[in-house]
Amino acid sequence: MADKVSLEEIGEAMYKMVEEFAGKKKFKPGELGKEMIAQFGEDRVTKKDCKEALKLLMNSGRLVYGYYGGTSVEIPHVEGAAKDAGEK
Amino acid sequence: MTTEERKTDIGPPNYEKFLHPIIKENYGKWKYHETLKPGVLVHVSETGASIYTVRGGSPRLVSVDFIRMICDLADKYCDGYLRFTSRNNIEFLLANKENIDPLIGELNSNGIPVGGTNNAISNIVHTQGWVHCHSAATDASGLVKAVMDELYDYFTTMKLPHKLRIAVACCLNMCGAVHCSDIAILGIHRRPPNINHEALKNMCEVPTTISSCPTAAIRPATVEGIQSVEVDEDKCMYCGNCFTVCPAMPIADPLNDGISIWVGGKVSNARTEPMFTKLAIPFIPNNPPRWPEVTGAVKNIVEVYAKHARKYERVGEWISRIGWPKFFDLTGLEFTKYHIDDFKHAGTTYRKTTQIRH
Amino acid sequence: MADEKERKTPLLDELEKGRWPSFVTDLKKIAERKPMVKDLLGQLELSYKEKKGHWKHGGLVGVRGYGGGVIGRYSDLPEQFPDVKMFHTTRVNQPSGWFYTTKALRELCDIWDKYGSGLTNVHGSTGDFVFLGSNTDVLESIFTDLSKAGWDLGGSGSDVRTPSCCNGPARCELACYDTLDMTYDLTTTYQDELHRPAFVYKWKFKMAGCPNDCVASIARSDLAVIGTWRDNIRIDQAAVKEYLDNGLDITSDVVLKCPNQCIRLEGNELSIKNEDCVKCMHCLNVMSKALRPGEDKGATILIGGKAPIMEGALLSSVLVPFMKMEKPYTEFKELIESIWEFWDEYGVARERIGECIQRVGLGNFVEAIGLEPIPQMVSQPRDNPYIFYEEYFEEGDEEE
Repeated sequence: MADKVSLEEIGEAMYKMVEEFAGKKKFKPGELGKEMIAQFGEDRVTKKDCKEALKLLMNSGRLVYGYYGGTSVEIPHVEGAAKDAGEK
Repeated sequence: MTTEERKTDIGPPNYEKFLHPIIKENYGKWKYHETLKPGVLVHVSETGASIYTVRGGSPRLVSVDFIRMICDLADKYCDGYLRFTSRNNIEFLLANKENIDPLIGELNSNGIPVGGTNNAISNIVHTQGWVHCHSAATDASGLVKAVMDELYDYFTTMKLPHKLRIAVACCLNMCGAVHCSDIAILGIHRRPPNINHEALKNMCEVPTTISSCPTAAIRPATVEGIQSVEVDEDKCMYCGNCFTVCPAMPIADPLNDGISIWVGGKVSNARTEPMFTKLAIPFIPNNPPRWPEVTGAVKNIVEVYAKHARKYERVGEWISRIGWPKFFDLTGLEFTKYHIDDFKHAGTTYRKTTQIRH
Repeated sequence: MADEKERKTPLLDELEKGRWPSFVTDLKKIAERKPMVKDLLGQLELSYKEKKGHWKHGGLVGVRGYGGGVIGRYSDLPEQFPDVKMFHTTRVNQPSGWFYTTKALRELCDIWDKYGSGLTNVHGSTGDFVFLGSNTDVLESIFTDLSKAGWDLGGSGSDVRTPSCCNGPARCELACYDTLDMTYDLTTTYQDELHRPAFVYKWKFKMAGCPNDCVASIARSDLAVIGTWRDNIRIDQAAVKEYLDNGLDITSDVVLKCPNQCIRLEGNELSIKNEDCVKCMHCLNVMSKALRPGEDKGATILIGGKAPIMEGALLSSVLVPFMKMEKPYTEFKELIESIWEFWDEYGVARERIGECIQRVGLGNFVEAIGLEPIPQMVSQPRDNPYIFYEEYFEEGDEEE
C-alpha cells in the first residue's frame, strides 16, 4: 500500500496551489481536493483527508473562504469593496 | 491564564427548550384546529388541551427594540412563548383564552395588525431591496409597506374566495418563493451590465465571469489593451448573474429598472398541483416612495379575483377555469408580445388545441 | 444644538403613513441611538431619490474557520455615509419551527445591540434570524457571544444552507412526521457541510409536515421532504354530522373540489375511496375536525427545486414516493450522501442539483445514486422517440 500523505503535507500543497494561482483562478474547495488527489494519487489521499487539511488551514487563518456567487478558497487579502471602506 | 476553547459547530439551540408547556405536553397529539376570528386560532389536542394563537403582521425588517416590545407582550400574555411563521408573521401562543382580546388590543395600539389567517392575504414574503442588497432593481420593504397599506383590510378580514399569497423579490435571483405565489411583484433590470474594464482586470476572473452567464452572452474581449469581456446585448436577459460573480459589471440602471407582476402560482398540493406564476404585467417603472402604479395594479387583480373566483379557488385555479383571455379581459390588462415566452421551454406554453372560449 | 448627522428623509417619511406597521418609523426611532441606522436611512433616502441601490458585495468577510454565515456588504458611498461603509449580514441559525422564548429573543437582541446596527430580519428567506449591519472587526466577538449563549451561525455560499421547517407536530394536526426533530437532526449532523462550503453551489433542505407545504419546500429547496401517509384518511362521522348541522355545504365545498372524485356523501355519512386519493389535503383542510391523515405516515422526497438563476426556475420532482421518517433517519441520510457524492463528481460550478439532473437526465441520475426508475418519478413516460439505447444485440450473440 502506498504511503499516506500527512494532512500537513496536503495543506502545504493546497496553500502553494492557491498562492500560485492567486489572481488567475479561484479554486472551489472541491476542486482543490480533486487537484490534491490528482497530484498525490487516490491511493495516498482521500477526499476526507483533503477536507480535513483544508479545515486546518482555515482554522489557522492562512486561507479564507471567499464568495462571489460561489465559494472559493483564497489567501487573506483586502479586496476591492473592503479597501474602499478603509479595511486593512 | 486559561484560554477558553473556541466553540464551533454547536448548531442551533434545541427547539424543545422553546416550546410552550402545553405544546410540549401535546406534541404530535393535536386533533384539529379552528379559526375563532381573523388572526386567532385554537388547536385542540386528543387530550382535550387547547393552545390559542394570535397572529400579528410584522414588517420583517425590525429593530431589536421592536422585538423587545413584542417580547413584553408575550411575557404579559403568553408566559413568554411565541413563534414566527414562514411568512414572517408573529404568532403569540396563549394558554388562556381570556388573554386573547387584551393582547389584540395592545397589539393594535402598538400598530400591529392581527389577521392573515384562512381566506385572507397573509404577510408578504420579501427580499432586501435597496435596504441591503447589491443587485436590487427596486426596494422591497417600501413596496411591501405600500402594498400592505392598500390591502390592509384583506389581512384583517377573511372575505376572499381563498387564501392569497403575495411575494416581492427585488431581482431575478428571487430570494423567496416569488415564482410560486398567487401574486408576485418582481424587480427587473432591462439593460445589459455596464462593464468597467479597468476594475474588471483586478476584480474578476474572465473564465468564471463568462461561465456565469445562463445565455452565453458574455465573450472574452480585449478592450483598449485590457483582457476583459464583452456582452452580446441580443442574448442578455438582464439577470445580473455576472454582476454577482464580477462586481465590475454593475447592472443597475435607474432609467430602466422597474417592476413586473406575475400571477397564479401556488406551492400547496391542495386540489391542484403546485404551479409557477405567469406574467401579468411586463413592466411598471419604479416610482418610490409609494409605487402607486404597482399598488394599484395589485389591488385591481385582487379585487377582480375576489369578485369572480369561486370559493376555495386560488388565483391560479380561478384563471385555469376562466382561461387567460378572460383574465386579461376582466383585469383590463394588456396582453403583449412579452407575454409569449421565447426562452428555452417556450413551445410548451403555446396553445395547441381549438378549445377556446368565444 | 443640531446633530450634524441629522438627515432629512422626506421620501421615506411618506412610508410612515398608512396602517401597516412602518419599518421607517421603527428605523427612525432606533437611529436616535444608532449612527449606523442614521446613515442607512440617509443612503436609502438617496436610493429612493435616484431609484438605484448603493451596496457593494464583499466576498471575504467571515468568522475564523467558517465559510458560511456572514455576507459582506459595503456602501458604494463610504464618504457620504461613513457609518455604513461596512454593513455585513450575520445569519444566526434559527431554532426549528421558529419557536422562541422571550428570554432567547432578548438574548439575541442584547448581543446584537452590543455590536451591530440593532436591525434584524425576522426572518431571512432561508429561515435564519438575520443580524443586518455590522463592521468587520466585531464579527468574531458576535460569534463568541453567540456561541457562549448556545447559538451558532447559519449557512451561506456553496454549502448546506440553514435547514428550515413548518411548525409540524408542535402545533399542527396535519404533520405526518416530526419536521422539527428532523430539521434539528439534519442541522446538527451536517454542521461541517453547513459551515465549510465544499459543494459546487448551495444546497437547501426544507421539511414540510404535509402536502400543504407551508414552507414552500417544493419551490425553494433542493431537497424537499413533504409529509404524507399511505393508509386511509381517518373519518369521524359524528364530526361530519356536526359540520352538516352547522351548515357546511359538503357536496359543493368538499366532494366537488376533490381532484379525483373519491369522496361520497350519502345522508350524513362521508366515505372516501382511498385508493384514488392523491393526498391533496383539500378535504382535511376544510373539515379539520372530521378528517385526519392516516396512521401509516412518512414523507415523499422531492429533488431539484430552485429560483431562476441560472437555467430557469424549477419545482422539485419526486425521487422517493414514500419513506418512513423516523430517528435517526438513516435511510434518508444515506440517500442524501449518495446524492452529494454524485453532485460532487458531476456537478459543475454554480449548478444546483436540479439543473445537474436536467443536464444528465433524471434516468441517469437515479441509476447513478442506486434508485430504480419508477413511474411515480414522472407525470408521464416520454413522448419523444429519441431514445439513447444502451443495450442492443450484435450478430452472433447467443440466444438466451
